[in-house]
Amino acid sequence: MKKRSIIVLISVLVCLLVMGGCGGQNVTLDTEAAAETLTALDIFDEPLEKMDNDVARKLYQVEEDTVKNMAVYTGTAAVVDEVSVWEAKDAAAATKIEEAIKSRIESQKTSYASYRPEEVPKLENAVTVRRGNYVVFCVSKDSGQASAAIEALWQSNNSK
Amino acid sequence: MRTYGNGKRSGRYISEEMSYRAKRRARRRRRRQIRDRVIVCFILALLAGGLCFGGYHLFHRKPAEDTVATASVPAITKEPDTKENFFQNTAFIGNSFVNDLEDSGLIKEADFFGRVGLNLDSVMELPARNGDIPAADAVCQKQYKRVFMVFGENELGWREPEVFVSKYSDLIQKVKASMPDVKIYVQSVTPVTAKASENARFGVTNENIVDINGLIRRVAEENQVYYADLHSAVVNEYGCLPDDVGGDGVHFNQKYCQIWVDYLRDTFTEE
Repeated sequence: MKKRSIIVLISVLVCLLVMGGCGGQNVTLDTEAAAETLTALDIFDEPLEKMDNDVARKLYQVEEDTVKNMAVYTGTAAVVDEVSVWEAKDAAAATKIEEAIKSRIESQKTSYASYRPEEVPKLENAVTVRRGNYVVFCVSKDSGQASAAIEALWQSNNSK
Repeated sequence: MRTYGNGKRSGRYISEEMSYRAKRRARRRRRRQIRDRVIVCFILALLAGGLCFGGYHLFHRKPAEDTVATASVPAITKEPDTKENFFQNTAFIGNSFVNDLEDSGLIKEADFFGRVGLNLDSVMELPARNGDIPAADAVCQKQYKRVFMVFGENELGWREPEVFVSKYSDLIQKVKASMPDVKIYVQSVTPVTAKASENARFGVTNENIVDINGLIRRVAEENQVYYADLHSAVVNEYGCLPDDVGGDGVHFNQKYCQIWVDYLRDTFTEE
């Protein structure tokens, strides 16, 4: 009886570990659709327009072999409002993209501190979320709503 | 030839033959002399003609200085490019408008040295976006065919017109010294929407824009560079930027970046 209990307990633990491990790796996201969903929110000071992927990679200083899919939307230079959704090729590439986003935030802060200082708080409250090989970045005037919208993206994409 | 029965020739004939041969030699000599004289005359004629031709151009050549002095402002001549290759080997340097143009993705083959807030002071000190060295130095690292300069918006609050002209000239001369064959285009400041002009943020009004464009035109004339009048390409009948530019009423969205690109290509390309 004792032996049987131990076997059952170990089996349950193993199942829990496997389920937990698989949960993170099964994350999927349609980068284009996700970006469009975010840009439709009423949290930006002007309409965001889609950026060409080559131009966006250059802007973020991200190598082409790092990215599997991507979608970047920006406003004019009058604002720092921005949405970018990335699917990296692997975990290491996703880390590089996260680093590139951090650099982008710092660079924008430096530039806008003297140009349009009222834009800097948006950068300080920028939202960056990583799940698996996906990274979502959003700079807006309402970081709370942005965070909630990004969370909803994961749920809607992974409940299917 | 008269011969005896034994094959020998008579003395009289011998002298006649000798006379004939002498005459023949003389005739040949005379022909050679005539031929040689003709050749010499021909050569002398060629030399004389060459000297006359070269001497004329040597003493009647127009000095280069005269040609340059008469062209105070280069006419907006159309160049032997095609619309497809117009922006190859081209650079844009300037303020946030250059960032917007780069971000539009409409001219992937050009290099961009833009930074929000860049002006004719800071261009010598601050790097362009994602750059490491001052933008003015960065643009001089390569030999460009064309360099478009976009300044004036961030200088609308400057009070000294002569300082503006002087600093713009300094930048132009720096670029020219680095790439003597470059074509430089100084671009007029574009209008803003009526609402943005009313706000008059940092001196940005359509009236001030017209004034500074007068200075930019003067910079072009004094430095013998091209004046790219983008202002005329986008201004409406009220002297304003149309409201469909969106945003802050100053900066260009994709639609207006396309108008910008088309204006430059159509104005400065020879078909």
